[in-house]
Amino acid sequence: MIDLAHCSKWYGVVIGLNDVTLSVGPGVTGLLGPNGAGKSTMMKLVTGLMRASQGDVKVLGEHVYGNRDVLRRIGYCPEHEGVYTELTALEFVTAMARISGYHAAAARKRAEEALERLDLTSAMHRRLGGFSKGMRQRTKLAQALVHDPDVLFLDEPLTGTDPIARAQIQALLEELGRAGKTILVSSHVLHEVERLTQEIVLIYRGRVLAEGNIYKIRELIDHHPHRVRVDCDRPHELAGALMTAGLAVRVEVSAASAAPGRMIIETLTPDTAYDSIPAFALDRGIHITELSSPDNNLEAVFRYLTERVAGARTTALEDA
Amino acid sequence: MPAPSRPSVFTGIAVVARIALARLTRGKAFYVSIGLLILPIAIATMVKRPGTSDAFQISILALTLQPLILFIPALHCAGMLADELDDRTYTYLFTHPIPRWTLVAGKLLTTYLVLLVGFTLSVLAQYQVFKSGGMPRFLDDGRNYGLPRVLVATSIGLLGSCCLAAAAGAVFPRRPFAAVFAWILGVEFIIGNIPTVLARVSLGSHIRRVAWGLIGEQKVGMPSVSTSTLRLLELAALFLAIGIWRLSRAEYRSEV
Repeated sequence: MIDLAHCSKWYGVVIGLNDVTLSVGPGVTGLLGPNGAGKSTMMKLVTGLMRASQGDVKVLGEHVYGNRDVLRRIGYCPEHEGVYTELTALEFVTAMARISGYHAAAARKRAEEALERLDLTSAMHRRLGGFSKGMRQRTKLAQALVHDPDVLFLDEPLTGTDPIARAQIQALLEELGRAGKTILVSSHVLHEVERLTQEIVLIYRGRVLAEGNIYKIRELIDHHPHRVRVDCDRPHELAGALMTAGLAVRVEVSAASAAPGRMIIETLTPDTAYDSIPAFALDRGIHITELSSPDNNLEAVFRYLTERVAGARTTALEDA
Repeated sequence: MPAPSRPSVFTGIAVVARIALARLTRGKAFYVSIGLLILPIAIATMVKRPGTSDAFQISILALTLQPLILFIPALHCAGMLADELDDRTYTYLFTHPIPRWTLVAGKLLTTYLVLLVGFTLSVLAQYQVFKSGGMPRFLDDGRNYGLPRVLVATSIGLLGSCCLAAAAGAVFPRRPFAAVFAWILGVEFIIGNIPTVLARVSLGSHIRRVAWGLIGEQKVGMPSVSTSTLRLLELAALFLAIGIWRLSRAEYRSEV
């Protein structure tokens, strides 16, 4: 479904993707890597937004750049927050359905269904300019899904969503994956990807480090404390509760006025922490606006993997 | 299953045009433009009286209308492609099966038609005001078809001006307004008023020639009305081509 063969992309003298060969089949595949690893570059290549400097990029067996027959069959949810702020959610998603090939009436009907699927029915007549980050994210997803594409590319789709929306989107993607769609989801948060799929591609500094089952990397990552960022209205109270419950080994509450109510917790049990933080907040009436991972631990694991690969190469050279 | 058919080019243009219309009419600049288009009518009302010389009335029309033909499209069109590039909203359109140039065509078409309606109404209103105060010869000369000629000059000039602003915005997406205003000040207001070869690239000089050509003056070295009309269309096509070229080559900017 998605094939890259010796694909490279340069931005001037900087390399974004370096000789990547990869094949992704039906189901959900996670594209995992720290910020700046080359995930978005890969997404832009496979969606036809950019042309590869070298190598082939094929989707559904055909070159994707400028290929309208392929573009008709893919859906893309970009990482950036830009939307047409003057349009309502319904107008925006309907417009995207129209340029996917649906006639006006069918496009509107499909747009309403897609927005309903993302729980945006009550807000669909509001302008996107007034939407929260999470609502925009769901609208972006709705426009990616509205024409029922065979292949879906989702670039950091859970960014900015609250825990409820996150669970909802995860369930939707699981359902689509089970239905046989090919879905490539990029993320820099292992925990997010882990909930969606067991198939991952690890990318770091423009290279694919590994691909396959997530549990291999899971074992590595568990040795590093997992950092979770929480934005809420009473961080000190939530921090105390998490420490008392033994869920956090370290907590850092932001004193910066630019990020009031922000705290970073370090935990050795990320699964339990992700499940428990919303529950703790709910019990105490604390309002959480964002729950995410700043991902330092993932960076550490990638460094470890890179060094290991480099070490193996050195040993091989020495043996030779 | 995906959509039943590939969308036509017209569908692409229509959808982009609709998005552009929403952006245009729901933005603050739209109301600023309405205010600016009322300004010439207000000035005409203030100065009109029987016995006012034609030259004076022509000056009023030229001083109010001509700069607006350059400035109002700049307000709407400079950011037209620049916003798409800067907000990266073009990624939604470019990942759909429509040609990339439909983005420029759809946006430009909408903006041009909306502004054309506004300018036509403004010119007609001025005409009525002048008529009520004693018709100036240049507008009522049966031989030269003054009013239609002013309208033709306005419509072609507006097209050129829209294309210029869109192209400047596409080439300089970070500073679209600065780029357009630099052109207006440098080329239109300075170079365009000096009778040299360089004045040929000035939209304003050709707009003036088409509109004022109705008086029948033909100074030495001045292009004919038909030449100026053709030049305006050529400049519009050139600016349009630059805008389309820039956008079609726009690759998604990224922090690697």
